[in-house]
Amino acid sequence: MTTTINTPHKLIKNGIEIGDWVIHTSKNPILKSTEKEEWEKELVLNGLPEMVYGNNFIRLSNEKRDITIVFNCMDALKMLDKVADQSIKVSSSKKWEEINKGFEGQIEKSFEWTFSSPYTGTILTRGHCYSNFEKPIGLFENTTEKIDIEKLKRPDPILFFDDVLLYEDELADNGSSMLSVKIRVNNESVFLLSRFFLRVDDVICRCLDTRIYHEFGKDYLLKEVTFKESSFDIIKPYSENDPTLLTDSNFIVSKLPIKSLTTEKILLSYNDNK
Amino acid sequence: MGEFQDVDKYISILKECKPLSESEVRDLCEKAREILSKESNVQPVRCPVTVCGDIHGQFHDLMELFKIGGNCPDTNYLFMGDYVDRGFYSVETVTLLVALKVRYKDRVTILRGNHESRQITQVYGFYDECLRKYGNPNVWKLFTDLFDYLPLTALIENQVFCLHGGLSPSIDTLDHIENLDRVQEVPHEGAMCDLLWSDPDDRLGFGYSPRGAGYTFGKDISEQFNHNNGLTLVARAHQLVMEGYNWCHDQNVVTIFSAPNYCYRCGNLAAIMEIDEKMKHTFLQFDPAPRRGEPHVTRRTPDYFL
Repeated sequence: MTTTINTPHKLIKNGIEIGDWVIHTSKNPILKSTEKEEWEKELVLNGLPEMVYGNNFIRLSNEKRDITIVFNCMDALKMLDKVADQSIKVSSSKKWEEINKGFEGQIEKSFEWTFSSPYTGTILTRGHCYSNFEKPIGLFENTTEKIDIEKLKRPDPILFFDDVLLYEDELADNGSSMLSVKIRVNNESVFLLSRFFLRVDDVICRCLDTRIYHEFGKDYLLKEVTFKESSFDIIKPYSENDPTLLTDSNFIVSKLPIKSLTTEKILLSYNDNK
Repeated sequence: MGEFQDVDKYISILKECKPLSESEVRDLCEKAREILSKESNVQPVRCPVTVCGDIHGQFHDLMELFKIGGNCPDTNYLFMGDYVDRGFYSVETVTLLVALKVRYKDRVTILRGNHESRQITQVYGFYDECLRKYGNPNVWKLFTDLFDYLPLTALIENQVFCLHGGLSPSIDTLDHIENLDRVQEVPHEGAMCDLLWSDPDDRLGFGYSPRGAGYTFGKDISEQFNHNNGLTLVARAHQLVMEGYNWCHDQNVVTIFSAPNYCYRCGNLAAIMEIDEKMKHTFLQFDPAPRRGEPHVTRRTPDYFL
């Protein structure tokens, strides 16, 4: 089957105008030391990821319907817990703590060192800014509809693509924590994947995927959130054969069991009768 | 003349970003081991010298560093570890630095970083790169065996103390470091581990990381250490900083990071610290080298991700 729909579009700097949508991405260096200190203060966090791409974002705006969807770094970091999840420690911690107990005056500087943010994007509408847990009535609707993966597998020409990092940390060489967002636009639809991926070597792997899918002309977007997690045992047999698989997050994610999956509609009609 | 004929040949090959053969690496590592095994855990260094932080296999940026800082042996260099992993040219980078050490042993100092370890290099790239470039892990084995001999720290004119990570609660004086048995894989805990792994922090005292391993050290610790040992400064690497260098602890500690646009995507500057014959220091910052064969930016070709 070939694509018959041809949505009017125009490439712009770092983005595309297509149908009623303006899609825009921003890619910049990591924050400067002074900016990072300011963010730490503002966020009241003891520790930020080593690489904070504070000026990066992906934005999808529909001015006509007054709905904008954004994925940015600050909003993701705002949702971090202020203290560490005590159930996750690096693999060497037991031995380390045994040897190092007994030094006086030691304090733990607690922060969510895995940077596992539950962030699934920000929606701006009617001058308000909503992230994950705030759900104004009429903006979201439960659905059994699924994102049409078969359509997305078709090699239709990509009009616009980008891949934007929001933050990254090497966990002091104990693994990796990374939040990144990808977007691709073709004649028929826009598809976005925000992925938080965590690997603590010999301990745990987890992934929070947020997929946003919209077929141009339809009155809604689909938002699918998948959470996957497993102890390292699932990965170990593969990585023992080939240690390079450890740095292939797509491979690891494909092996992780799904812990939860929700799909909902974001309704573009939200503002129609305001 | 004859003594350095081989090594001069190695250096000219490496400067073109070409790896040596396995037998050449074996020869080089033997020569290097002889030199490094005679060096001290706190290796004395004379000024003038240029102090450099993490390189991480970014070969073309190392060439840029030499352009900015001056060529060996016109400029003396002190590298504070992390030559391998992450970047695309760990093999060429570490081989060149070891070759320069062998050729100009009194003008080049190379310390051990936490990535100069068997365990870390198996996860973060060097092992894999050796397999790809040589078809077997022999070169990886030769280098990781050599890494055990790298000095842990250096001391410039009894004033500036240089190391990869930072201070340790089990070390008060430089004599403590001299007494360590360094010829071993980097342990997961203890003084040697701390020297290669710890980070300065804005909290006082020694803090432990919520990760469950690793120390941070506060301003009081740095001040006391510098005072006790008659030092003016601790220069260390290990942490990415956007500006390439970063002062902390009231100028008792400086972090130097010499891999620009780290991992080919961070957009950070790199820096090196020149210390002149009067012990005055100057920082030189630099951008990534214009490169062939390495990606310029992170923008990848469109893919049909799902």
